[in-house]
Amino acid sequence: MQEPTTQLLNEAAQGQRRAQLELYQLCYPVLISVARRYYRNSEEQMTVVNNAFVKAVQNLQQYETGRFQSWILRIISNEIIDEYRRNKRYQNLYRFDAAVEDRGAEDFQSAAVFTQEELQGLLQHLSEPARLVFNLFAIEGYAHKEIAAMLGVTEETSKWHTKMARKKLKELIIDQNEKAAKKSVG
Amino acid sequence: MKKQQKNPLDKLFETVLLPQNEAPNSAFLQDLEARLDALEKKKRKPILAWWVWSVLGAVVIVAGLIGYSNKSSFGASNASNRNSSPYQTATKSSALKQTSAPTSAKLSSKSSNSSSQSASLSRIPIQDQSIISNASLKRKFPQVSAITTITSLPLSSSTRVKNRDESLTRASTEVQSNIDLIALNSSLTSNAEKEIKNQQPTENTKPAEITILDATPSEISSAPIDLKVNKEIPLDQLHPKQGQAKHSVGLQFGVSGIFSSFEVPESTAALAGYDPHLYRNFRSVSERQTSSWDFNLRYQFYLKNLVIQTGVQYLEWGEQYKYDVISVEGTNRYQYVQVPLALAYQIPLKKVVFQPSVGFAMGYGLKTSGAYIQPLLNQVELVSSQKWSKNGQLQLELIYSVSDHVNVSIAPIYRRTFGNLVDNGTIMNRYQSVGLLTGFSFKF
Repeated sequence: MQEPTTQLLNEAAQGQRRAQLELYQLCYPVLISVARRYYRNSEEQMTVVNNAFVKAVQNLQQYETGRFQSWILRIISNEIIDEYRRNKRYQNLYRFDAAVEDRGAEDFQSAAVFTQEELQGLLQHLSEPARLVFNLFAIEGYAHKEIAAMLGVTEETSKWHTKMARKKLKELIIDQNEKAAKKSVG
Repeated sequence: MKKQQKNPLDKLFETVLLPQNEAPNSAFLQDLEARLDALEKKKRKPILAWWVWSVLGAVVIVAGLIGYSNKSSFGASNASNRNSSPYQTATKSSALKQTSAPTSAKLSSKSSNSSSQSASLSRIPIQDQSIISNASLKRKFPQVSAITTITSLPLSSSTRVKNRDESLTRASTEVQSNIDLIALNSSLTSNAEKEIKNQQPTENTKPAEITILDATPSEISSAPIDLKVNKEIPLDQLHPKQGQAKHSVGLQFGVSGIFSSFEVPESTAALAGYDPHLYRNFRSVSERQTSSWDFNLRYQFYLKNLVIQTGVQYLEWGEQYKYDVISVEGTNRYQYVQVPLALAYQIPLKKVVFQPSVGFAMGYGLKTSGAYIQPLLNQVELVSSQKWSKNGQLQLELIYSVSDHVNVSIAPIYRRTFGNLVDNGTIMNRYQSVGLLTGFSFKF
């Protein structure tokens, strides 16, 4: 993402619509890529992207220095977490169905090449809590402690959902590899 | 954000799912524009509207005060004129104080030549709705060649006319109406003038048993004349029912609390996953009442105790909203100018008049755009309220008369729209409001 100029940020903060739309064009790739990891539905993606951008515009005065992309990534992450909290699905975070073995994730090897859409599709097979935690931990780089604090759960719960997600993703990838192999043999 | 040692699976997702350059589609942009509009609307304060209404109100109040003070000062200036004119002498009797309509008298006399005084009747007072002509006066008083005219004497005041022969005539109205006239014998004019010049106000003027029309020359005394000099009222302005106002115009200002109620569609084929119960509950907790300023320019027509009211009103309908799910908040304000037609009934109480009224109003929308969350709870929907509105109103007004022509009032008012003011098939809102208006009016 190209960093916006100070002038553009100032004009957007002052409410100039042209500047706001220009800033939106800059932020959109980052925002939509995050939204797609969490939501399959395009309306949900649109809601979270635009909510996050409006919040960014509202708080532009508070943005001082640093990488703008990191700042707006944090805004959209918070937006997603807030949305999750507001939703009934929040209680699913506390559901522990079974013990999960984490073995195998470390030695995961895949010769297959995945496109963005394929991986996004795989993420959508995860339960919502698992997808949320996996995104926050594996892709966005939050620690379990931070995730626990953000979601109001214990670190153990965060770890459990991460393991659950990895296990499921590994199964899905293996399954996909097998299908691809059969297809190529056939 | 701490980075732990990367799991291969995590790394796969992190590297592949990096942002790629792409442009937002039109749906995203439209939705964003709506949100930014809502944000801008929230920021924009109605300073202009406040100023306009404040200035308007101030102008009206100042104009009213000036008008009222001019009216008061007119009497005062007449009083000072009385002192400067040898022919105008005032007496403020207790009887005069009780009059309900300001009256005045002007004494004019062509007295320089007592032998050839000509009658002058520029203004004629009225008694019991009768107008007395110069000719009738001459018939009544053939010896009168010079006539001192008195106009608009106070109700139930009495006037004593001093004649040359020192007899006293006390002229009075028999009823509460304008006193008529005083005619003076020309031969008495010079004496009368002297007496008038020396006239001192007397406080206890007794009403006469007879009127001036019944008086004979012999009954005309040379006693001092009690004259109330106040305001000149031309003959053509005198009305038999002067003092009974039939019209009034006034202003009312106030604040109302607006209560919004809405319906949600029970099912919508076009909206997959729509839950009416959830939508209703969500809107109930996300929308709440707001308040508005009311401004009424009012005309009233009196038919005994019945009052017909109309005029021009400014009011607002709307609500505040805070949709947490989509992080949008703001206030819908639908602004209307309307013409009411109401029927009121006056019930006089001890010191005030209680005037309940019921009526109907037809309004035109000055601002009709608003925003609500969509039934799927995922974005804002922009709506327009009805361009023409209909509503009913009930007002319980308490009126206090500051003077004969000025009233102040306070009035609780209830209004409700007839039908849905907002209705686009999925969003249907109707409104009620309860407010308190204060105002004043001029009767004429």
